[in-house]
Amino acid sequence: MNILSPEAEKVIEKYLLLPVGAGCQTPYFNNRRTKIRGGLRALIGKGTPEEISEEAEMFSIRDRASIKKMDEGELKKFLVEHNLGVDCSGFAYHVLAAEIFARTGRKLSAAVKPWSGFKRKLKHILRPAENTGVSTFSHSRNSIAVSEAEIEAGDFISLVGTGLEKKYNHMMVIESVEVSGGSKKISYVHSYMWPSDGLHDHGVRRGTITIENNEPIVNGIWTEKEKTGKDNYTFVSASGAKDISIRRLRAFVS
Amino acid sequence: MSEFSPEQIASVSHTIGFGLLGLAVSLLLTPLVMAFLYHFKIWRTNDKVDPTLGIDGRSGKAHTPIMGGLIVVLSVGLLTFLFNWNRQFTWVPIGGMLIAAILGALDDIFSVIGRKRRDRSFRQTLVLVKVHKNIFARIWYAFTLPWTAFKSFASSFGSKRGTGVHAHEKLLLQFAAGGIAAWWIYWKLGETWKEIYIPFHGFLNIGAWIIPLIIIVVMFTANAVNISDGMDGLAGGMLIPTFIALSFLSAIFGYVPLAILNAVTAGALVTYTFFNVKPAKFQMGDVGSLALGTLLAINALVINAMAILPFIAFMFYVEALSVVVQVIGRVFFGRRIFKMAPLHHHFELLGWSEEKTIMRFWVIHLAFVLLGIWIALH
Repeated sequence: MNILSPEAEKVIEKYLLLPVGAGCQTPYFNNRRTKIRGGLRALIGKGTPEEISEEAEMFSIRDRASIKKMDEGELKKFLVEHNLGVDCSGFAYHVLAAEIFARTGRKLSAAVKPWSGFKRKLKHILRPAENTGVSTFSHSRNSIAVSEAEIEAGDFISLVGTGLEKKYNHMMVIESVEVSGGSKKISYVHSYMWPSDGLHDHGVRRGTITIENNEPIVNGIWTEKEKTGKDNYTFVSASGAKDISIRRLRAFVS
Repeated sequence: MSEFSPEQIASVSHTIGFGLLGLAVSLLLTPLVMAFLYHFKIWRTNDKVDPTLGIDGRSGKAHTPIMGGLIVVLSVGLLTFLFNWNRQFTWVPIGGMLIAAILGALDDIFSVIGRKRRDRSFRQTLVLVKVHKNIFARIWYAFTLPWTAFKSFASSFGSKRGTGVHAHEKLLLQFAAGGIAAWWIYWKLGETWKEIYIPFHGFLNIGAWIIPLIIIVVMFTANAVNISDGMDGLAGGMLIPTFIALSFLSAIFGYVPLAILNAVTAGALVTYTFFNVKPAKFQMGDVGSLALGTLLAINALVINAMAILPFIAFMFYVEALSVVVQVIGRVFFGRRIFKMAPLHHHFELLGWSEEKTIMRFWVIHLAFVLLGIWIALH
């Protein structure tokens, strides 16, 4: 079984159970609607678990809300109401940053960067996590496409052009790959929001894709929140995406 | 046998006497000011505008009067007017202090009784320039864009929005106080004040650049003291050695009216701090912190001690720089450098008690004040 490094797993576990109060799953938050500029990265969906937790504590001080007395559900609601959470690329950034550092000792900001535009490059130097989106990760200079046969932990699935208007991108980090005969169970982890999630039931979570004989992943069985097929919105997004690919950071290619 | 002449000893005694008079007068004023503040309920409210009241152990600060600095401002103003009214040396420091005090008083009063004011952001104004249905409104918004940009920039350094005087208004009035000080120092005091004294080096002439420098120093110092007034006894306790140092240096350099002015201020601050230590009977408020910050800067500039200010106002500058660093961290790097700015709240959130934070700040500040005095004598 091929798995992520313990350092990257630690980051994932912290996102799954934030180190604040009773702890809860990190909600999904995308800055697309609020369009905050020049704000803390924890407030624009790009923070680490520690930064999100720290901001939650700051909000609890400001609002005179005792975060320590909240149960998991109340805490999640509190986070959502204060726009605290992480988006798919923000989550992937910090997990892959831990992975690349564990494997190579390099910083992700040096390995994955925009390749055009002075302004973009400058912004990336100052705020790498905030300026490394799905398209930057998926750029051919930063990552290469790999086949289902080669897939391993640390790769990511890139969905370009999802949603009804085909204008959203998404990415999932491959957490482990388990091969059993001709069957391959790919475990992924991502931050996502399904339309059926309601106000609070979204965020960082795990899912699996089971494929036979290295068939394309869109033909596999996608399971997340115990839902498969069309009930699984991640699968719906993947099958409806303009482009779906499994990619590996060039920094991981020896 | 004393190495000091009887005249020198008499001068020191005279100055200390004024310090004691400042203490006594401020002590007499205290019940009057407290009665005034309680009568008009000018105290900290426990609303969500002030986020620091949510920190553990701070909720008790609600309903503490906030204009206690009036005691110092009134004592200093009154005693200077009665006994130390000197056209060359005390008019402008007192004038600058009063301008800042009025500004601070307005902020204190409006933050209690004022209504929340709308603060349109630069981005919102840009949108209005494009989409407002009235062409004249669009032209007006476009014409006033630089002003809107200034307001947005200033608000990023402001601690609270809504009621009270807004950050850009504060900056403008402080600019006025700094401008008056610069005009006076550059054009009225004489040739000596057109140069900056650098310890161990001598005088440095930077020409007319000294004017904006004076304005910046006055504004920065006033805000630094204002920012440091966030814990019981913190600003008052640090201002005492600072004004004693200024009084000492003024006396050494031969500026007797300024030595007296600084001594009176230090004396009044002793009374203020007595009542301000935890649990505070009142807090300084902007009326005191802005006024005393302005007075501190002007008094240091007049004795040509600009280069010494970073030492004798050390912790004030550290506190102000912590806010600047925090804003830079937030805007450019998207991260908090400190848990909360100014710095004293950072330590408070790290678990330091208020007393521990204050006393350590006092001690560090005192050490740098002593260093500043030593440097100033070279």
